[in-house]
Formats: sequence, structure tokens, C-alpha cells
Amino acid sequence: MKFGKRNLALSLALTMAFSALAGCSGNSNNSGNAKNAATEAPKASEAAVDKKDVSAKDITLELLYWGDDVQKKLVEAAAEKYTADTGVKINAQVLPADGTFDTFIQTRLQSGELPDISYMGEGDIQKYNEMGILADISDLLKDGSIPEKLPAITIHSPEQKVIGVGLSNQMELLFYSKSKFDEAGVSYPPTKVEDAWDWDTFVANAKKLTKDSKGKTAADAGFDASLTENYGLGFTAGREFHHFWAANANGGGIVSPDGKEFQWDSPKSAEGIQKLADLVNKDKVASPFTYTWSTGIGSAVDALSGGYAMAISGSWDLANIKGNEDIGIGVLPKMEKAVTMNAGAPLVVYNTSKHIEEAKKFYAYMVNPENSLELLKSGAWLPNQADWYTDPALVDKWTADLPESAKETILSYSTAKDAIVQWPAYYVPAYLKMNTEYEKSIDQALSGKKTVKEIYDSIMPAIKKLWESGKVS
Amino acid sequence: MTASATMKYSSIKRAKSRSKAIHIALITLSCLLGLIFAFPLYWLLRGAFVSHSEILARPPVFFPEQLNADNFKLGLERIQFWRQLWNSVSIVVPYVIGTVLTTSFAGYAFAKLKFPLRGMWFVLVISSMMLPSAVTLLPQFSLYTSLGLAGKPALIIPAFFCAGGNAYFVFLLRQFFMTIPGELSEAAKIDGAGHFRIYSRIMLPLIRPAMIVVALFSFINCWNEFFYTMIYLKTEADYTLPMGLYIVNGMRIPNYEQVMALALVVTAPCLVFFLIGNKYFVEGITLTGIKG
Amino acid sequence: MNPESKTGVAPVYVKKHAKGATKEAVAGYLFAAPAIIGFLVLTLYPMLASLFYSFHKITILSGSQVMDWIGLDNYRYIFNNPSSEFKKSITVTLIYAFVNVALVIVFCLIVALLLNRKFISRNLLRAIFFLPSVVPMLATTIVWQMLLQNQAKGGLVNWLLLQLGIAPVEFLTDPIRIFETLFIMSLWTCGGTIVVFIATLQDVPGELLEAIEMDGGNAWHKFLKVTYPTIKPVLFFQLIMCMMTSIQIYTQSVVLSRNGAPDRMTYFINVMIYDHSFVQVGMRGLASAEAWIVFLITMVITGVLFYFQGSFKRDDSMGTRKRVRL
Repeated sequence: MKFGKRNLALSLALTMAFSALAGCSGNSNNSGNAKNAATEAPKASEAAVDKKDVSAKDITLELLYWGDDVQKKLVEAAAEKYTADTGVKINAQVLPADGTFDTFIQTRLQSGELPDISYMGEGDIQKYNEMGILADISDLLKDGSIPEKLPAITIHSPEQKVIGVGLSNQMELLFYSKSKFDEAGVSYPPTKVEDAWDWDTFVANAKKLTKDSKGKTAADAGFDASLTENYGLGFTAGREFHHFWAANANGGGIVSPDGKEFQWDSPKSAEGIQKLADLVNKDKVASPFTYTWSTGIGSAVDALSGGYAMAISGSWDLANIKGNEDIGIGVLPKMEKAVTMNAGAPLVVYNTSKHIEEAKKFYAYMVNPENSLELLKSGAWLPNQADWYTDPALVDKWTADLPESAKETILSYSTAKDAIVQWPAYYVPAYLKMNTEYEKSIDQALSGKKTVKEIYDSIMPAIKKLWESGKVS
Repeated sequence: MTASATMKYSSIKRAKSRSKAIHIALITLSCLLGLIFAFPLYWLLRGAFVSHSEILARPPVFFPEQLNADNFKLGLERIQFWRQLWNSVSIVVPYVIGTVLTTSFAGYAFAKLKFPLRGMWFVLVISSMMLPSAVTLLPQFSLYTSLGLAGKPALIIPAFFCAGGNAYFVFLLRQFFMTIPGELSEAAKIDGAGHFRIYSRIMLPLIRPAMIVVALFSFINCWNEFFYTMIYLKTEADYTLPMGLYIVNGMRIPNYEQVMALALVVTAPCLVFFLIGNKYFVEGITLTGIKG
Repeated sequence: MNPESKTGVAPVYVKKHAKGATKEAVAGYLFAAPAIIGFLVLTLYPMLASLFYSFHKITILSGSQVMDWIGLDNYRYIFNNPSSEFKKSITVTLIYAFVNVALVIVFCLIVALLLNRKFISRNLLRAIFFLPSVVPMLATTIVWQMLLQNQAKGGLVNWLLLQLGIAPVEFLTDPIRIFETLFIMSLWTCGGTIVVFIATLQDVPGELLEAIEMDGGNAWHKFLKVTYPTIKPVLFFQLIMCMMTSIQIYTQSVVLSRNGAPDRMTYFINVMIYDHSFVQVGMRGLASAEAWIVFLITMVITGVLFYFQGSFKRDDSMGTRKRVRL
């Protein structure tokens, strides 16, 4: 018993020391935050008082969105400006940018608390349209309150109503580390679509950039792939974005742009995906990945400062460059065609909104690139309007801070004919189910356990049937 | 002990020196295991203080050159920290109170009071902890939604009804109550004390250590609750801290250093409570003992 | 023990105070009311409702939920349709659960025995073993992800392996290795069980241990003859609890991949049911059917576990006997 007490005293002393350590760090940062909160709070309440005086209508719209801290500040600023201009209050709620967003919409739908406006995952919009909760915004485009957007991110329902337009445009780009290319003596990837590397050149270069821990590259004899220290290439994620690109680049596709032909099961699509899998399992130039966001390389910029020489990622990663001189951007290699894939989460209005007219007005305001200029400048978003890529004055507005190679690449893609492939989620109602079915087995091909053809042979009939149903559920 | 030891003194001495060697070997083993266990904790701590370029750097940065508090600032700014702290507290306090009250009521009833069908009810209540939460997920969600309670109340209510895994505590406390000699309450009964009086005046003080353990465990469970929180809380303004942590992590651009910093902040209260309750965890439980 | 002594007194007492017995019964129900109501409303009702849902196809049309009776179609889908992932999901879940329970119980017992020795800094070690279990699972998963991922992405363990000239291991993308990752995380966070075991070990009668030592018994004898019988009920209880939490594994899988990658090997039951309930559309009825099959399977598992373990059961039957005598 005595022994126990002494032990207890000792452990208490030690744990107190430990907690003191933890306490210090916690305190210092807490007080910092307290200050912020203190300075912010009065501002917020003043603003609230102002609003009450100005707004006679007393309307509050709820906006649900996702975003990192930069986006959050920007959306809040845009909402505040809108309130100042119109008197309509905006209650902006931010959520994590992943599958949980979906859960929120569904649970709120059930409890009858849908917001007025929200962001929406590319893959989910047809689903909610079928549930009958999305408002038709065709009128906004017709009467010109929304100028014509890029066709690729203007989303139609199966009945050809416009149900959403993308807040931003996104495309798939090739990021690379200049220093790693210099060191390996490989010339930088081109920035013009017409100059895109063919697949063999791309793989050969990637091999030169892949090194094992003894300093041998994958192009050398005696290279030990099991001891790879630096990879030539990484993907941000092994998900649909990259898969659909490979299928299209190889001359195949998913569903034809007019929605009438199922192309996913074509041999060319399978071959394209096989080329992706081969990068890992045969050419040994890329690290293993699965059909998910999290096993990818994360941020392209982080990966390039780590063990990767090239990274294939979405244009949103441009925002992470932040003046890093080592990062260059180029066009993706071509298989049969030199193309890139497009994305861009849409904004939607819910038809359950009590103030649907006001919501639509706010909608038009939110999708105007003028009101997201900061995000455009950072590279996180690309403009959603065609003239912003062609009108030199408008182009200068958002490209000034981007690396020269990024600007060239993006403009080359957007001006070359048929160089951007639209994400099928926008126009294929059964997309979500098709993708879920695909997701169930494709990892076996990515890991090299089976060939893509074997997997496709077993899953494509079911996926085709889902496509033929033309329905979400 | 000394009396018996003198009997076979020499052989015991030999055995003792051998067992001492084993003792030291085992202690070394425990310390090594402890180091292995401590390392990820250190890695978490380190992650909170390094810069973004250092966190995943090769070669790894084991000791950051300068402690960087920016991660805390950025992480806390990203979420509505004070709001979410308040949300967490406003859920966890009633939750713990509810748990301690109702589980000790039930534990007392099942251990000390005789009423018809007691055995059946006990088995049924306990069996609810063997039920996968998925089975009740949807109907519970619909139930709370139709009652307009889908939100914070849905996270607190189960605590007041020994539900949501709290049957575990009912079982635990029942075991403690059973170890209290029946004579104590009999004596009180003869003095004319009611059952509630016996419970509050005689039983409670005796099982206090166990109650503290229950309070601690339920605090930790509720504080870190994620699954139900994700389903029932619907705006950032309602979020608890683990959800805030999830937001910071949920960006397409990983910022692990902020997640680690925030994780430290979220874990801190559990840590403090553990350190306070450590005594009861180890010494306290032993006073009465859990027996099956 | 003391239930016996109580039952010895009770009959006499009851005869004298029949009114007291009713009063006690009322008090008993009042005290147990929260637990009983909770069971009826938050467990029994949802279970039955879930069964009812499982015979429906539930869709959302024009913003409201529509239920169509489809009989056993959901169950047929689960067992017959090649698109159904139930079989794979329940298989990986059960494999994970069984291996995990064995690992956790053995490991926690060993650690508890080690930490039950008297030595300086013992309580610090106890704290170290307990601490990981209070870290939010999300953070735990990310820490281990940072430690175990590909070294090109900064994974520490693989970086060290590479420095030693050993081939790095794909802990997170290999369909088998991912389980190693999950087990490591599970062992790292099992401090709660260790604490309970340590507390239980305090009940092991020291005199009996010494007696065995006198008879020349070694540590194994001591464990088998004294320690094990003493802690057996708690061991079994923790085993059941651990089984239940293992079957309900969720956060780790969601943080690591969200869709059960690699190759749906981490598409555990809870992940799947959550997916079908709140992500996919028109699958809530199916989710209920899946949940019910899981329920039946866990009932069988706990039944078997109880069958192989007598003492816990005996305790309950004792409670029943007491009631009968009353």
C-alpha cells in the first residue's frame, strides 16, 4: 500500500508535468483565438444591426457549401456584399467537401429543412433532380440574368431543363517539378495541346524520373522496383476523373456527349484504363493507388516536393503553388487523342425554397465570375464563362498570378477543338449507380491482380443495364 | 509472509534472484512497449507544431526546429471554434449527467430491488448493447425526425434512457451494487428509510468510485462521438468539435498539420479528465472490484 | 456469496412485510423505468420498425419518402443478386472482428499483467497505454496513415525500411495489408480494456499466488490456477464488448478510403449500411434488411459465445432463481 502511494505521487508529478506542457500550448493558442473572436464579435453584431435597418423584406436565404478557409472567407465576403446591396440576408453554412455533404442534404430533406441554395457534387445532381427537389433555372439563362456559361458545366435534366451551372470550371492538368526534370535531363512537358507527348514518350520520360534507393532509374539496367524511392508520376486520386480521362484519351469513352451511346465497355476504354494500371504494375513509374480519393498523392504540389516528379491532378491544385517557382504545368500526354477531363461542382436552387425568386437572384449573383475573382486568381477555380477564356481583358483579370505554363496550358485546352471532355455525371442520370457498380471491382485491375479487360467483361453488362434504365434509382 | 519465508530460506533466495531477473526483463519489455505506444502520440504532437512543408518531409523532421503555433490558429479559425466548443459542452454535460443518473438507478434496481420480471428486463436491457447500431439507425432517425428532435436532443436523449451503449454501464454498476452487503440496506429499511433514501444516502457514497469511472467513460464516448453526430447535426453552427476536426480534414487539399493541432485541442479535455480520474480508474475500481 | 445471504433473509422478511414487497416492486420499476422505457422505445421499437422497412422499397419522390411493399425482394437481392455486396461485406467484417477480438484480448491481458507488476513509473506507463484511446478516431487514423503510407508521400515506417535497404510495404493499398493497418490501430487504441483488466487483476487473491509459489509452481501455473479463474467473467464480458465494437467498425474505414478501398476489403457492414441509408437513393429498405441479417448473425455469435462460457450465464440464472423464490 505504501509502495502504491509513492508510485501514485510520482506518477501524479509526472502527469502534472505532462499536463502542464500540454496546457501551455493549449493556452497560448486559445488566448490568440480569444482575441480574434473578441475583435470579430462586435463587428458581426454591428453588421447585424445595420442589416435590420436596411432590410425591409426581412428575407434570409440559406446557402450550404463546402470549402477550405480561403473559399470560406470568399463566400462569406460575397454573401455580405450581397446583403449590403440587396438587403437579403444570407445564412452561409460550410460543410466538409466529401461524401458527407450528400448525407446532410438527405437528412435535411427528410426533416424538411433543405437550404434554399447549395453546392452540389457533380455525381449527385441527377439524383436530387430525380427526387424532385431541384428548381428549374432555365429562365435565368433565357432572360440573360446569367450570361451563357461553358456548355460543359451547364447541367440539364433528362427533360432538358437547366438544373444547375458550375460555379467554376476545373480540368485535369499535368504538374511537374522543374528541378527533378533538370536533374534527370528530361525536357519539360509541352503546354500546347497539339504538342502533347505521345504515350510512349511519356512512359519513357517517367522511367527516367523514377529512381530506386541506390540511384538507378527505371530506365537503367539493374533497377530494383521494390526499392523505389522517387516515382516518375503520381495521381491525386484513382477516381473517375482520371479513369474517364484515360478512357477518352484512348479513343473510347463513357457515354457519348449526346447521351445516346454507351462507350464505357468498348475495348478502347478498357485499354486506356489498362495503361493507367500498367503505369503502376508494369512500367513501375507510379505508386499504387485505388479507386478512392485518399490513396492518391494528396496535393500535387506537396507530392512534387516529396517523392514524385510529375503529378496528374485537377486545376484546383493550382491554388497550392503560391509562387513556388519549381512547379510547372503542362498538357496531359495523349494516347490516341490529346484531351483533358472537365469537372466543376454546380450550384443548385431547391424548389422547396420559400423565397424562390430571391434565391434565383442570389444564384445569378453567385455564379458570376466577377464575384469569385479571388478564387479565380488563386487558381482554385477556373472561370465558368466562355468569354473569360477568349476576351484578352477578361483573361488578364484572372491569369496574372498564375505560372506562365499554367496559363498557356489552360488557354490551349480551352481554345483547341474537342480537347475538353465533359464529365458524364452531368448528363447521365444513372451515373451514380454506374459508378458505384464500377467502384466495386475496379481495384482488382488497378492492383494488377486481374486485367482491366477481365474486370470489364464481368461488370460492364450490369453497368450497361443501369445506363439503359436511364434512371437514378 | 516473513514467517513462512524463513522455512526454506536458501532455495527461496535462489528462486528470488531468478525471479528478480525475470522481473527486470519484464519491466524492460513493458517500457519498450510503452515507448512504441508513445511514439505515435509524439508524432501527433509533433504534427501539430511543424509547418506544412515539414510534416511529410523526407528525411522526416523528428524535432521541429521551431515550434509553430500557426497550425492552431489556422485550424481554429477554419471552424467556428468557440461555437463548436459550446456545442460539445452543451451535449456532453447533460449526456454525462443523464448517464450517471439513469445507469445507477437501473444498476441499483437490478442489483438490490426485487420486482417481478426483473431477470427478464435485465437481460433485455443488457442485450441492447449487443445490437449493432445499424439495425436501429434508420427507424431512430425517422422517430427523432418526426418528433422534431433530430438534432442535439437526439444525441442527448439516449443517455437518459440507458440506450446507445450505456447498457454497458448498467451492467458495470449492477456488479458494484451487488458487492455492497445487503445488511446495510436492511438496517436502514428497519429504520424506516425509503428506497430512494437508501439509494442516495447509503449506496451512492459507496459506489462513488465506480460512478466516477462511468462518468469518465461516458464523457470520453460522448466527446468523441462521430457516427451519430454526422447524421443528426445539420449545420456547422450545430457541430461539435470532432465534426470540426472532420471539416478541417475534409478538404480535397490535405492539411494534416492543422488536423493534428486541432486533434490536440479536442483531446485535451479527455486528457485532463483522465489525469484527474486516473486514481479512480486504477485504484478506485479496485476498492470494490468488478466481479462477474 | 452475498446474493445467497440475501435470499436467505428475504423469505422471512417478505412474510413479515408483504406490503414492503409491493412497495419494493414499485420502487424497482421506478428505478429501472428509464432503462426499460429506453429499451422499449429506442431499441425494441426501432428493431421492429427496421424489420417492417426491410420489406419495402423506400424512395424519395417530389421531396417526400414513399414506401412500397415488395415482400422479400430485399432479402432475395442480398442473397441472389451478384451486385449485392452483403456477402463480401459481412465476410470481411467478421474476419476483422474475430481476429481483432483475439488480438485485443490477448494483447490487453499481457499488457495488464505486465503493468500489474510493481515498479517505478508504472502509472506513467498505464497513462501512456490509456491515452491513445481518448484521441478522436479520426486523428488516430490520420496519424497512422502518416506513419504507414508510401514513403514517397512521407510515410515514416516505409522511409525507415527503405533506409535499411528493406522493400517498403504498401500498408494502405494492398487488400491484405490494410488489415494489418487496422489491427495495429485497434491495438493502439485498446487502452480502455487494459485499464479494466488491470483493475480486475487487483482482485486476484495474493495469498493463493504465494501458496502456489511455495508449492514450486511457475508463473504459468499461477496464471492458470488463480489469475484466470478470477478474471474470467470480466475477460468474457470484455470479449463480448470487443466483438460488438469490432463488428461496428466505421470511422477508420471512412477516413482511410470512404468507399472500402482497396478492393472493398474495408467496406464493413456499418459503412455499407450507412452508404445505403444516407448516400445511395432508394436503398433504405435494403439497408434495413441488411441490418436485420447482421442482427441475426450477431445473435448467433453471442449465443455461441455464451454457450461456451458458463459463469456469466450462471449469474443471470441466479437472478432468475431469486425472483422465482420470491
